[in-house]
Amino acid sequence: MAKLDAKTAYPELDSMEIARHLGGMVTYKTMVNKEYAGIDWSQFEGFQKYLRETYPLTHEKLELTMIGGYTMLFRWQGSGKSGKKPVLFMAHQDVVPVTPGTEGDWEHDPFGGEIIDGFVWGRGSTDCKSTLCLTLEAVEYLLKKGFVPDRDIYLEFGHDEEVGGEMGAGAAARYCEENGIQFDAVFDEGPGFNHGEGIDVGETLLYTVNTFEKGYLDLEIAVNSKGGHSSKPEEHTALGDLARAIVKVEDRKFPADIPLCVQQYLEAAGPYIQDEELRTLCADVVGNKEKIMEIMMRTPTGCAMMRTTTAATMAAGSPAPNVLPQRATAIVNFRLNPSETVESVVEYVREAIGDDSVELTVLNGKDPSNMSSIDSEAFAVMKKTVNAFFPEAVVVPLGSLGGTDSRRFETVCPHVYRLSPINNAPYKKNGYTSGAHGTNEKAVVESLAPAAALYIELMKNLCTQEGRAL
Amino acid sequence: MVDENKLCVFTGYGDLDEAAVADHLSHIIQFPTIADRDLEAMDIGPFLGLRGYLEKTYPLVHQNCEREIIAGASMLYRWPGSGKGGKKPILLMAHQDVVPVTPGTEEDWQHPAFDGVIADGHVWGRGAIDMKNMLCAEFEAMEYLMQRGFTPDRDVYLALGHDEEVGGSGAVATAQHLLEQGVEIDFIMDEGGKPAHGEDFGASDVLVATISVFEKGYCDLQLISRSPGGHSNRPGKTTALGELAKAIVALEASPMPAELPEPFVRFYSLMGPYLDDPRMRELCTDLPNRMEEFIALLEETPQGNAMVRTTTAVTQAWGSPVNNVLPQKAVAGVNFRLNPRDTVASLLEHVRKAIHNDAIELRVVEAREASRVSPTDTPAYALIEEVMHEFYPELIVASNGLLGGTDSRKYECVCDNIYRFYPFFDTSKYRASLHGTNERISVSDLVRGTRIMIRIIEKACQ
Repeated sequence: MAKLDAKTAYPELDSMEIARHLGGMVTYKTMVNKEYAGIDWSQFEGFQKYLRETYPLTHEKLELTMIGGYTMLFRWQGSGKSGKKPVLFMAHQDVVPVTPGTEGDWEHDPFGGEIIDGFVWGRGSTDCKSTLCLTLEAVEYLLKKGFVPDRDIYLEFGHDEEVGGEMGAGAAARYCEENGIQFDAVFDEGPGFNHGEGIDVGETLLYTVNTFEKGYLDLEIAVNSKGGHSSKPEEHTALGDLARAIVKVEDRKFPADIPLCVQQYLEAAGPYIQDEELRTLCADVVGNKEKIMEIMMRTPTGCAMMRTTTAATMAAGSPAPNVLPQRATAIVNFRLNPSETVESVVEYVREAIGDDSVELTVLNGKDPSNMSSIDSEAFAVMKKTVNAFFPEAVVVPLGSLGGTDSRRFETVCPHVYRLSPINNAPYKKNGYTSGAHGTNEKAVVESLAPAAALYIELMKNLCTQEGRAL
Repeated sequence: MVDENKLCVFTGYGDLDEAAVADHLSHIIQFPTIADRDLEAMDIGPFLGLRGYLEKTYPLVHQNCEREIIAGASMLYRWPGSGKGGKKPILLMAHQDVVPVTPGTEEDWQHPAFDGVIADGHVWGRGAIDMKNMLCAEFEAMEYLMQRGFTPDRDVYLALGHDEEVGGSGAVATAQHLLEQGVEIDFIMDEGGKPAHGEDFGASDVLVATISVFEKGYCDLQLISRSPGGHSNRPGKTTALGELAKAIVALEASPMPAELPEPFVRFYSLMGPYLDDPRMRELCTDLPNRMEEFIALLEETPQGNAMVRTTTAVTQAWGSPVNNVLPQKAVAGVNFRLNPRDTVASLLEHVRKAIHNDAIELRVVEAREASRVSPTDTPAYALIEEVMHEFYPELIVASNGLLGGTDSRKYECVCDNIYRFYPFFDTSKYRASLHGTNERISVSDLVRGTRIMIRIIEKACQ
């Protein structure tokens, strides 16, 4: 297959125009909070009105179902010729707030959506309004061209991904389940183009698709005691007992293993690893498992790939220095690898502490996601599409340490892939950082048209006989 | 149980108007003299009200004494003596301020905390045992003696701090004032030790009066652990909080060395035969030779452990502000109470060795050394003992130390003999109400305490 050039193949796509659309989206402060209290819903209403104005064809031709008030589920009805299940493209409308006290560190208004120095500035310009924007750009373009998919395409834009996604994607997935809507593949936000995670592949361009998300657990460890005045302490205070529990939990690391997605990652990227020893070992990842783990687990990222991680983060004791704590609490954050469940982690922690008077409470918990196969047609089509634009890119699966809305659709889809159409790798070399969840979040303007082209091509390939043919 | 009211043999000062004493304390309680570290922020109204009430109620005291207002609201009275005795002055103390009622507990009081209700033979309200009782008894005693034409043979000072509960800047200033005037004090009486039922000390059948001759030091120390922070999904081997937890465990595993301070050695030498616990009783018969065993026994209870060593109490902790963010800084607050053998410097050295991790930063938030230990072989100590025996011939008077702090320590610059003793049984009987709910004192205890104060002043100054 000849190398596809975005500019030649899609001359009408204009990065600056897409940047203006994205900038417009950034101006809406679409923020929610865990308590769902005091939310300014008019921002979401304004945002959706803006989408209607900017993508008129999409709104005219696609069927829109509102879920949970503000989550948008679009159905683009296909010809049905292929007899294939639909595909789902996801993104989310909500953004995280600007951390109080950091406002002054922004070079440009976080909600200004300004286009300056080749960037679209502001909160959401990368996470995740860029993906949302590019999805709509692709659909609008294809509609304009009269494209008719041979299967249904769904778009889902949640409104509360950053606070768990229960009311948005959670409800949307339940809606699909109840209405018998099943998907062949789901595409949601994820890594995409990069130069290696946990391994050094030098200049090799990787295209990383997360086929797995680690589980999540915030576990509160609490010790109670009768308290009292600090002038007559017992041998150990509640906080002292708690400290012992924390040390035991930290000392008892979870067993390390190479999850399938990491194995596949190392097999695919192995030949490009700079370190000779590791490269050689990766020729037989399964056979050299122990040695590979030993090398990779020298870094926190490598450790996080190989095991359920343990991070003691928060702590609280007495309200005053001279009062014995009646209750001392710590929060330990775990990220679960496929072999664990929330329940098994709690059990493991209980055994490590070995003291039933220590209370364990699950504050937030979700099991690890399923692991999606890389042998699916959708994965192959996606890989072909990426390689059409970037023949040099090595498409690899991996697991995500964080979470996305997409896992909620596991009930209605076996193949959930987390990726990004945007190639930021060249800009990162020059010091560009996305600033997602941080300060000075920004998108590279000239990356936008090629990214739209990639999504257009991906939709086309997924939804035509020729496209799917390998 | 021994009844202190029945056992009292003292019959003097029969003309003391007991109802008036109770009424006066009732009024004194009605001024909500709550202190604030910041004098500007403090409501001085109740302090001025109290001052006016005292002037009106104790006219002779105010006629015969010089009074100075120090540090805004503290008061120093001097009752000039004849000087015939050639003795150094004595200093009686009390503090005017009280702690507030814990918000939300107001309804739990049988009588409102600042109404000074007299009911069921008690005066109810905040300050009834901490320590407007002592303040009242001191004024009553002086007024009583003045009414009867008594002239002390030496100066009697009365120092009434206004902010003992929040640091004691008034006492510091008053002590400094005395120092500048070149006043040297023979002995001081302040809150602390008191007459009590022996049960408090594991001796059921006796009454015991403790005179506290030292108070422990205090240190709030923070242990600070730092790390680069970041997202909790890639934590590495440990976090700042994990490192801190190790330090806490190491610190608790390494208590400060044990040694029974001399005042407690004398306490147990005296108390030995009366102790309920046969093991303790036996050890006390040969305390110098069986000290190790005795200390081991004391260590078994928090109370005993606090006697024998500088205590370690890990009380507070802070980590990351968010569940899924690695702490950039994790902090533990540890509260120590220093025995006289230790200093803040030696404590820090011990902590440093125990933790054995230079990456943990130590920050002293607040610290004071243990007080000096006042001698027990003085005429003043003997005088308090004698007076108590005039009231209770069988009562055992023994020295000890205080775990907490009082204003009296601040007078070390002008006095070697600081005796923390106030003559009220109810301070221990109702100790749960001290800084708590339903603080009160029985009228019988109040008037007996008043008589004890009259007797002490009279004996000390003639």
